[in-house]
Amino acid sequence: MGVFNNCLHSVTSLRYLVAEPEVSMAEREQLRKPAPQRRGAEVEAEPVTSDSGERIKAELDDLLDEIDEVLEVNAEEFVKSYIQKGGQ
Amino acid sequence: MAVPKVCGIETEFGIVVKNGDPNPIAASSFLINSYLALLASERGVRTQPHVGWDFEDESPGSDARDARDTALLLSVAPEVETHLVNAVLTNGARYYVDHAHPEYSAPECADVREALIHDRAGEEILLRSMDAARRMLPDDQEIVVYKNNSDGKGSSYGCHENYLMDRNVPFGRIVHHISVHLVTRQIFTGAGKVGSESPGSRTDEVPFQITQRADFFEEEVGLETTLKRPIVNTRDEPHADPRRYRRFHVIAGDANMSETATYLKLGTTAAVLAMIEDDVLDPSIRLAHPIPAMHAVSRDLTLTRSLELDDGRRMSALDIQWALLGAARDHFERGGLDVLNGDVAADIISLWESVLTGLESDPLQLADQLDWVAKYRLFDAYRERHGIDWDHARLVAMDLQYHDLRPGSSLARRVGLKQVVDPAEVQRAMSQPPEDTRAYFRGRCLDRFPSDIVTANWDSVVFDVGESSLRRVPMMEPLKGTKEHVGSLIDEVETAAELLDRLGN
Repeated sequence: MGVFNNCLHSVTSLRYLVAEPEVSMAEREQLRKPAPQRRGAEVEAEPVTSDSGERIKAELDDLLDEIDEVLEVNAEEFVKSYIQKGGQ
Repeated sequence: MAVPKVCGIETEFGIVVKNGDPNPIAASSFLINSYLALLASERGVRTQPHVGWDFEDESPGSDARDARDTALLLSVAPEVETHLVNAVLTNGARYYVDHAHPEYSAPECADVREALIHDRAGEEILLRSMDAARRMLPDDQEIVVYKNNSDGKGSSYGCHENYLMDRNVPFGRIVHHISVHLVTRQIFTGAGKVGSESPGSRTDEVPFQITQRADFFEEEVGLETTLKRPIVNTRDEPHADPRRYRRFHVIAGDANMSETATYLKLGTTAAVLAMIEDDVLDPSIRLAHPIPAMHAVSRDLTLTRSLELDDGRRMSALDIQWALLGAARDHFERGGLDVLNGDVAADIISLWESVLTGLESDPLQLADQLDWVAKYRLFDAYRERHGIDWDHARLVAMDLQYHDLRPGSSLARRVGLKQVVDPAEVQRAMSQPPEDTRAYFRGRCLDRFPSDIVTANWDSVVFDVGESSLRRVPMMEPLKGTKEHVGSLIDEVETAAELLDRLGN
């Protein structure tokens, strides 16, 4: 972009033109939630078989029933052809 | 002292051409140009305004165009250009071709929740790009994009995070603490992977691991991003006032399909960086062997393996994360995480605790929140049902297909992952910039005055308003140029020239 620098002489800077934020971070209204519980014994007692656990299990069974229709037809060929160049 | 945690995510996507020329550079250009042409047609103009990226402070690299491939694609769709594209969007993002991948760099956001929204908006933009490209290609051809980090054959591509930091913090202190977090956060940031790509390791030894990326890390600290990748990247390119700021660049994360994982990845890292700036972390928690620890954490699905610390003690990744969470909670209570935005920080701390609790008691209950757990649960059930081994091609294919962005094909969209943000917010972020960073000025100017802008980049916008010289607006302060600062001005002015005049007065 040297080509642009060469013909630049007029620079408009937000630094000088825009006021500092009027409300500092410290003054910003805070809606603090209660501090979460510290790690304790209740961790162990938590039952795993919650409603959401049951729901997820039922959905997993449904997904397993239908998944072959969604999967790439020729898995071996698909895997073989999925080649990427290295990036960052 | 901690500065506001302005942050953002940049993602290189995997790309495949079905039944067409497989050249990834031509395909990536075609994909992005198809999207730009779609935007232009929606705006009712024949050609899109050519607002390119300003490389003034970057190395553009060589032009990798392949004339033969370009000619081939042009014969299919003469109206779409296939040169190496590098565009700036009205939401403030950069959308371009990098290292043979389409890359989406989301705009800088003032908090991690907004950064999550813009990461998701990027996925939707890639999806629309695929639709746009499909309409330009012959019926049997399609460009498909994957949000993952590895082809399973030893090639990796990145999903990087960026965080604004105080320049005065000694880099040594950052390295000391952040590598501990980057190694141990893998237990919730991992996107999961079948097998291993480390030289010499076999699938029967590593049937499934927590992260996509761990295999590719070989150093603790360094400048590289494409080989001998370091846990702590030393790239010093602040894209802001270099006397005040550092842009801390994280290359050690996975691209997540789960919103919870992206949110926690950003939130916990922003919190740890703020604690490093304020120097409140326990210096005795320091890994003795960070690289072996990174690989070990990724391969330990039981989350129990202990890691050796510098002082000889041993702690598991989970123990270290509990310690970091405890420090973050204390710092939050002192107001130290106000730099994350207080509400968001409270939300992150609560989610961080609930996820660590789940990982400790039964990771499988997080199958609707974490990518690696969702993937493991599905793949393991599929494997059992069909009586196949982990290295079976169908499981490896499912591993890739989890990250397919097409709703009809994506397995991630079928495993019941919880949403964290409102889809309407994601839709908005596809075209609107964040309102509380300089991305607002960049995006709004591009929306209102596309034909008057010559180039833009993270820290400046260059206008051509018909005068003898171009006019450059530097934006060295990421939290200036916000809606509060310039919103009504941009709304009021009729022309770019008037905007520049009023900014200058």
